[in-house]
Amino acid sequence: MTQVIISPAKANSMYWLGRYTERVYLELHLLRICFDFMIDGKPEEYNRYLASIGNTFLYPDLAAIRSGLVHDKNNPVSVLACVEMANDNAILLRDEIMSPTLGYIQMSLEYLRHAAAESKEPDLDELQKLTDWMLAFWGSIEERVYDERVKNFLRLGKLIEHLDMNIRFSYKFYRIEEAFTSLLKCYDFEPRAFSGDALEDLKKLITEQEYDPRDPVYVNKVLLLLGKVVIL
Amino acid sequence: MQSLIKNRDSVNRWMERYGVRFGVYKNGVFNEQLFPFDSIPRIIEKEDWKVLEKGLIQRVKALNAFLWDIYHDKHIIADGVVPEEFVYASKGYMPECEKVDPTGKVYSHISGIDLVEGKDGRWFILEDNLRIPSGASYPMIAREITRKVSPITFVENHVADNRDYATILKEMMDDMNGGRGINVILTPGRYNSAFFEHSYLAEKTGAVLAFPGDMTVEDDIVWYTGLFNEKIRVGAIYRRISDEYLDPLAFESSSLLGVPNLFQAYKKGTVAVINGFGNGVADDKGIYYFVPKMIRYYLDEEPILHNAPTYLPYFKEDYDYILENISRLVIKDVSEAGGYGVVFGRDLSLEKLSELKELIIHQPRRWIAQEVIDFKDLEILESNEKVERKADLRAFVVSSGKDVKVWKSGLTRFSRNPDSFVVNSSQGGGFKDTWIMD
Repeated sequence: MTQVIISPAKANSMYWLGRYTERVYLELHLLRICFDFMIDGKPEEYNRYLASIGNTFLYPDLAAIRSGLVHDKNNPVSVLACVEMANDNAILLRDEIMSPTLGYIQMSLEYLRHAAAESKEPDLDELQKLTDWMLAFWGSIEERVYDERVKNFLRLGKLIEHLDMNIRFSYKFYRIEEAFTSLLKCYDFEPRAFSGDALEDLKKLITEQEYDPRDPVYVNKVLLLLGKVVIL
Repeated sequence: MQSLIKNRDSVNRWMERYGVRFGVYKNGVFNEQLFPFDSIPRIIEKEDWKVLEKGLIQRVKALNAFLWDIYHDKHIIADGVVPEEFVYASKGYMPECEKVDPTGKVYSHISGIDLVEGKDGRWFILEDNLRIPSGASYPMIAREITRKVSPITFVENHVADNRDYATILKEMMDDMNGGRGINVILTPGRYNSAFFEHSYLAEKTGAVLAFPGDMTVEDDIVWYTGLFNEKIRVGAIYRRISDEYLDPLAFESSSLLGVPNLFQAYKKGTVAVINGFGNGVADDKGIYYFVPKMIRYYLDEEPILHNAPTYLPYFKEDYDYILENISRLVIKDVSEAGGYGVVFGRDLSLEKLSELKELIIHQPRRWIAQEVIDFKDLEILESNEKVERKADLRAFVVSSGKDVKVWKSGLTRFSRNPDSFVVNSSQGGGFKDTWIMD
């Protein structure tokens, strides 16, 4: 449907739905890399990944780490916890995003809940389904949602999460720059959704000269600003 | 039909995919569960449906006329057809609604009428639900899915298409709205048992799904408020919140679900509220007894559909009959709903029966008694085996200012417990599609 105006609560749900779906997509991508490091048993490599993703949970062995990062609903960085959060927001937006779009989140949730209940070892091949469903979710948004404001709030969440994760994982500057340029387009579309001060500070920090993802002070400063720049 | 039965797992997967659930609170904890769907439909032949349709329209017209009369001139009381104590002692009677004129004089826009089919093929009305009857979304989505999963079933069987419910609903909302503003569906929130339905109907009708706090009233006009202080006028509200919680300034002051001053706007006629305020007086289990009399009184017609044989302890003759035959009657507490407060005399010990008798003696207005109808059992699939279970039918009647329509479908609910007559989803029941043959 094309809605005339959007309530603050719905705009907030759109933003967080965008964030959590992007988080799920990127986590799956990064977990594949992390699991790959585990094959060779290089703790310094996968520990760096665990720290970057924000994991604070301790697991007794590699199998438990693998399982925990996917199926442990109590661990806020697990894929299941992120899909639960995406669903909590999506379910409030059925009238905006339509049932078939919501269906991709529901399928992901059901898949993970069943797998967690059966204590299944995460299967990277099977988890590709979730990646496909996240991509299908975004495709379905493009296909079924005509209201540009709705798309913009979803995209806003997606871009903030994309920047957040890319900076945490020290992606190259050109990747950050691309996402930040897209974020500025969202600003042009709806400047009232932004904190002008936080955006100005971000502009100063996200430059080729300033970009230093290996410096924890820099990373924390940028992540903090990313958390503040959208005011919904 | 075999194809549909064979593909029932696919149907259930689609239900899961679309989040077709209902919420239940158990020990204070909210859980969402799938509403168990049975692939074998209830089939109603065209000729039988014609009778049902006419009877349902007749009944709902009479109920709307009753509501108008009760809140205005009260002729039916003055003429001794309905005793006044049944009206004024009803929990659903709202003195605040006296002399209030709802848009188009319609009170019950969406009426959920529960029926059962006896073994002899006769239909009986079990109860009228005129406040916020739920359940239409389940057969709506079930049909969408079953047509997808088993198209051949619908090629081979000429079933009336039921996918027009959203259109019927939207047309009624538009008519009530009269172009004054947007249509909204007001939900108490995602932890309401019927939240799936609220959001699905909003999606399908193009109405805005509004949550508590999304609307305000200024100068008796209702506004939907958006980001950055944007606002847009609301013309019709399909509310899924009970009367008492709908306006904290008019009713329950502690309610956080309502819209302050909504009742004032409704009284002024600047917004349509669907269903209207005060309908509870007409779907009270005690008033049910009088509906056939209402039909004769307001429409000067003989009722087409019959009530289950009902006795009111209020009347001396019925009082004596109930006390004498309590062990074979079903006793209902008029203030309960959702399958609660229903007791079968045959299931009670002598001690419990005598306790119930005492309650009836001391509070005769609180109870009604009915003969136990020998429902026609419907086949359901249980672990790939066909078994028979009790089932009812909720028919949906939609009334606008222009016309009254019966949706060519309905929610067939069944008990999964072989010994139970209670079909409510909150008590473990499942549902079937209802096919009206073309």
